[in-house]
Amino acid sequence: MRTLIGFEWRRLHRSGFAWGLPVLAIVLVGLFFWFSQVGVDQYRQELLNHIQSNDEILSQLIGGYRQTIADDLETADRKAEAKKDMALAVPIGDALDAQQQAVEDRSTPRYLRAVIAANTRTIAFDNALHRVLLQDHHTLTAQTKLYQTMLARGWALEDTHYTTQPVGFLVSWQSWLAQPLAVLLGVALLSTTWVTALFTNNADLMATTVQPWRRWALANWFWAVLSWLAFLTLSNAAGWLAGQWLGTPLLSGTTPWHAIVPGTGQSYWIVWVQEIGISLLWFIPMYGILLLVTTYAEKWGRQR
Amino acid sequence: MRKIMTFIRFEFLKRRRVWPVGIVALLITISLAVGFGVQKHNQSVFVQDYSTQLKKRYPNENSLGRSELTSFQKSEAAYHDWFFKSVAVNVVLNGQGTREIPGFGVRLYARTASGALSDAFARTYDQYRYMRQKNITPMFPDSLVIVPVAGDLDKLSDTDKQWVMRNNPHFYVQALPFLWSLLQSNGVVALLLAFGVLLSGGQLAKELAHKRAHSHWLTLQDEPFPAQVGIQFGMMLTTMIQVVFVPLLAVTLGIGLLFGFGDGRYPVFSYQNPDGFGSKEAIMPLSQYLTNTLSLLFLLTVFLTLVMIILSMLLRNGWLTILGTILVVGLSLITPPIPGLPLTYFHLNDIVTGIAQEQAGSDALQAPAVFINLGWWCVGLLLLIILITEWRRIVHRLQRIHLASQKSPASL
Repeated sequence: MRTLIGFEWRRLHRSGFAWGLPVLAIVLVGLFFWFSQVGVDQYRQELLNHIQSNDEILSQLIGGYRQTIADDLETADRKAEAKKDMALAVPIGDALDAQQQAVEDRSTPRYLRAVIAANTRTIAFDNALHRVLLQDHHTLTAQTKLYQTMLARGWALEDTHYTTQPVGFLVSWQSWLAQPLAVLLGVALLSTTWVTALFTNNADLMATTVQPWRRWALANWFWAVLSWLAFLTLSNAAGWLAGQWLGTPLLSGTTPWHAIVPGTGQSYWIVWVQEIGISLLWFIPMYGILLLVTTYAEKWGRQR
Repeated sequence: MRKIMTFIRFEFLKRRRVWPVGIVALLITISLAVGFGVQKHNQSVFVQDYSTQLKKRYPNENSLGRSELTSFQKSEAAYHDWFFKSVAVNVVLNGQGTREIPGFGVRLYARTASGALSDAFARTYDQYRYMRQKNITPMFPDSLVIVPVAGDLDKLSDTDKQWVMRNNPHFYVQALPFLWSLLQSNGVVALLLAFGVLLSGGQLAKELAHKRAHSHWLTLQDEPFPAQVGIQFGMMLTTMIQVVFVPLLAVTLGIGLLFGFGDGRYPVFSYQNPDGFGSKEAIMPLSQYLTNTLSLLFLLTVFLTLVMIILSMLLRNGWLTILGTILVVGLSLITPPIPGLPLTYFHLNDIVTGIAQEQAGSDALQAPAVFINLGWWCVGLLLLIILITEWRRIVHRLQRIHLASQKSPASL
């Protein structure tokens, strides 16, 4: 068995995979980092657009109140009611302006405070007027709770898909590597030396050696799993370094490992470890199935 | 010319021995047809469920809103009419409905949150007016035209978003609309391209693989290397077209003959800026959408074929060439809209409808600019291929001169 493990390592080394894999890991992480940089910029713009769209709704509403107050034909009761409603609406507009300023100044704590203020005042406005002005109350309450926790613990605000902060970037990258399709591509890539050997004259050579086929497959499996592990380690290390050197926050601050990933209730650390586990759990059986299928395909071809 | 035709015939013969391309194209066509069958089935299930829901909601003859059930049971045309008038109540009549058309329905999520879906209502109204003017039959059952990227769902909670999307489905049960639904999905397009790459990616690489005499043998048969590359390009492109376009067109033709082709003027949501000052929502006829999307898909197929040729020349390994090209297709699925980057162009629907341009805020992602840019990328890749080919020729010549100079002193 040791001979075959050595033999498979030499094949892997001679095929260029030993250096090709690290190069691929770095290139792919580099590309993903670039995509994330673009994604972060677009998300920041999206935040501004969202604030502006809410601001427009508020401006129209406040404009309407002002018109009612200034209109001589309106009754005193209507004017008083408009004044009361405007007093509730104006602070929401102020909080939206503060949000916009915080995004432009890239300040997470100020942005979180402004969102919390806007949400609280919006709910108060809605309750007083029995309507829904900007957004559903469940969403506003959940967001307020999350942002209060983030503010109290000093966590940075980041998009869950695209971030260049080391912790968020690694979780995002690792989530992609845990997707069945990405693992399937990894299996196909790492099986190159096996597939090319099996469907060429090398298979005849192996058949004439005294080593049983199962051991050869096991040795190949061993190196494939180790290679995938090495790919995960290298790409995560490259991602970490890229995040440390070139990563910029969405607004300001950093995301620590123990911060909660929005929508999951679990820390970044736990999610990252889980994704690595999932990736390996997909890879190990998938590669085994590939070994079985290709072997039977080769045998079938030989019998024909 | 006769010689070239012989080589092409030879290549077709060779390809047939390796891959049954026709059978693969047939299997893909069958899979797409099954997808259409699923849509038809889902439509009938939805209609049945919705009818039950309406009957439960309006058990009494006099209950307000029963007109929806009446029109739904009467005919498709009656429901189209009810739907249009209900949307109009919300958009142009400021909610002032009548007893027959109160302006709400089970699925018409109007006025739950103030203005929550107002943009979707306005868009649906515009599209229905356009369809009425042009005598186009809407899809059945009628649904709101919701565009999440336009921020339609921003004001709703996650549960409400799911509810709205589940209750406003669109069933593409005619040929052209079904083709539209296929081209809207990045996953379907990526999968078709991946199949094409799988069948054609190894073609040239295998010829050039180390210790393979095939390429040299062809050169000895008087087929120069550039001609080999040119023929292989043609072969690979033909295979890609057979796998990507033939199933799409075959399934469209089949469905068209059995269930009708649908109207080419059907409205498709898009962003346009005819005056050049900022983009705004507009209507694009379905025929224009399909022409643009299929043209872009063809250009992307040429682009991928050129990528395969370059990878074949550099890697000289069929398997790795296939994987490298599939990686390019796979990467396109997670690429955000980046002006100038061809990976973004694989999001056909976003490019053609202007959504990508809107998201990135860049005019470089407008469909005409994308066509030109992708054309330039193809020209660039072609130049690279010519460069590699010439480089190989020069190296080969130098090697021969070197060998000759080594041999000549010994022969003396």
